[in-house]
Amino acid sequence: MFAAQSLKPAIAQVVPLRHAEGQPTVAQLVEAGLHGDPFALRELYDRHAKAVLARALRLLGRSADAEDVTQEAFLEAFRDLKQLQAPERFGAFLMGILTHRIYRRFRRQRLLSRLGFLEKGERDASLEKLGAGAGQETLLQLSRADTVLRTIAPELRLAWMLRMVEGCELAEVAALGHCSLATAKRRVARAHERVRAVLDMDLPAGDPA
Amino acid sequence: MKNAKRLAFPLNSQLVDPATDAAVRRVKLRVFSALGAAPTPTVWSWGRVGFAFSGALLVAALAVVGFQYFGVRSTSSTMLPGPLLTRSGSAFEALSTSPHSVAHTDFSDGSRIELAPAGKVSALSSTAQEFSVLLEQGELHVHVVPGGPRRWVVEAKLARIEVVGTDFSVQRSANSVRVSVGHGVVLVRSAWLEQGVQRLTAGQQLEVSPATSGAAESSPHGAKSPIRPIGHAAPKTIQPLEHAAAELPLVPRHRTSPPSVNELFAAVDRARLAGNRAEAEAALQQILSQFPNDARAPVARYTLGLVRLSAGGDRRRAVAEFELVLESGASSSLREDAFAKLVEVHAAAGEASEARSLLLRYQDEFPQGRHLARLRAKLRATRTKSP
Repeated sequence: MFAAQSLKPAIAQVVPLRHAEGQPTVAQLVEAGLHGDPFALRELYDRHAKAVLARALRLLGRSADAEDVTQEAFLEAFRDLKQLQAPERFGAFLMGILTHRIYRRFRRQRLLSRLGFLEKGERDASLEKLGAGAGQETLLQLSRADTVLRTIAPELRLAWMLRMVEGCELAEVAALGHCSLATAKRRVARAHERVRAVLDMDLPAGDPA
Repeated sequence: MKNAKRLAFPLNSQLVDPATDAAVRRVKLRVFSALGAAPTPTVWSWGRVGFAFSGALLVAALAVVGFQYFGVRSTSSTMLPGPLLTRSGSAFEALSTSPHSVAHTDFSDGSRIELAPAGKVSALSSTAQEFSVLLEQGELHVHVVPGGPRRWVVEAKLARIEVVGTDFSVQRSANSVRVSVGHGVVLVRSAWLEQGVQRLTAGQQLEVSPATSGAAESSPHGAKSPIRPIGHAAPKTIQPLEHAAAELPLVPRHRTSPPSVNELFAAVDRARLAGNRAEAEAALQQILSQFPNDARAPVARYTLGLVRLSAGGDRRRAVAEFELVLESGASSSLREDAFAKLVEVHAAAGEASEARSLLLRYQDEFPQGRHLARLRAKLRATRTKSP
């Protein structure tokens, strides 16, 4: 294009591209975020926020709690980006943080509930609330399931909800619950023993009953 | 249980999607507000003493992120990193060449810029909607992939060149800017053009060159902005607007028909360049009263706000005009500008809560707004200065 075309470029800008077209990859955004690019963090948020918030809402029920843990999860993820060894796995990294925070909420809610500090209005009713539009019988089932879930151990509740509500594979339940696959299976099965008394729902085929 | 419908696995397939766009935006505001400012105890209520240390670490980490985020912007106020990245995945900042070298940058969307020897180009803004650079000196060749989502803007002091998809060159020297179009269409905006804007198509070339100050004084007609096919020389002399403003009436003399909206806008430009606020205001009000449904009416209203805000103007009436811009069907770009002006005006008047409220509205509507960083910095500075 220019008369001096044969001269060497002053700044070599061409770098092999990992994602040849379209939007930057998650890994590229993570790297840019590590260098303080605020756009990259916003883009990471935009790509993951809806899924993260939806999971938080389904598991916690109360929108205020769900929004709190979503905010905390993103802040922690952005803060700990350096710890992310595989940048393309940002989504899983974020979900792991979110799940841990939800688990802590479950524990706190159970403790407060046992101590009588949790008002009725503050109790989570995640399933019933989200069943809007379903029939009365279904809503009744979901409401009863909420009640049962509040009474079981937080780790069992989390494992059951990840498996049965979110549809996570058992291996993912194990990873998110920081336990072995066998333990994850056992937790889901034990929680289901309690829940199936009120909820007409079978474990997926292949899951140990 | 007997009559109840059996629920299928997984349950979320039968539940309503709980995450509304409003909730996602709300959390986004909270996340990025927390990143931009020290977190408050209400947000970070750890609840247990054992987490106090973790909390302190987090505050420190956020402060570092916040420093990187705002520190970089405050030291380089013209650079707003945006979604258009270079092919290497980094934000474009600047490109320069020595007298004996050329350089180029490829972008992730396939676009490319090439800088001729002794040139310098730097980023002004980069958003999902616009990529803007400043050609400080030299010749820049730009190849923008057609059909892209962004408007490309090359600022070159005397002229502003806008394109969506095309191939063109801009050459800036001390007293002129030359634009040559290879493919597609570009818009050149300049106060030195008779109508303020000139459309160039493939094969055309435009040189925007006002007279040098000495020459202009001795010869008010010395400036020229000829448009001609590349390779031809048929310059059309155009009067520089500073001198024209003093000589021309608000609308052309010897006419029987009312002035068109274009003529009124040209009159506004001339009056503003001549520093005649009253005439500019009159012409703008004429546009708003005679052409209320014209697509440029919101621009006229915004300009009226600017004129009223200028030295000795009426701040309250200016605010009213900017608010009317927000209520009108203004383009996104103009809405952003109106929000920015409102925040600035309120901040300058010490109305911090009003300014913050408007900033939140702006953030909510334009999460990646091009003025956000600057306005946040301004509000922080205002807060710091206030006792």
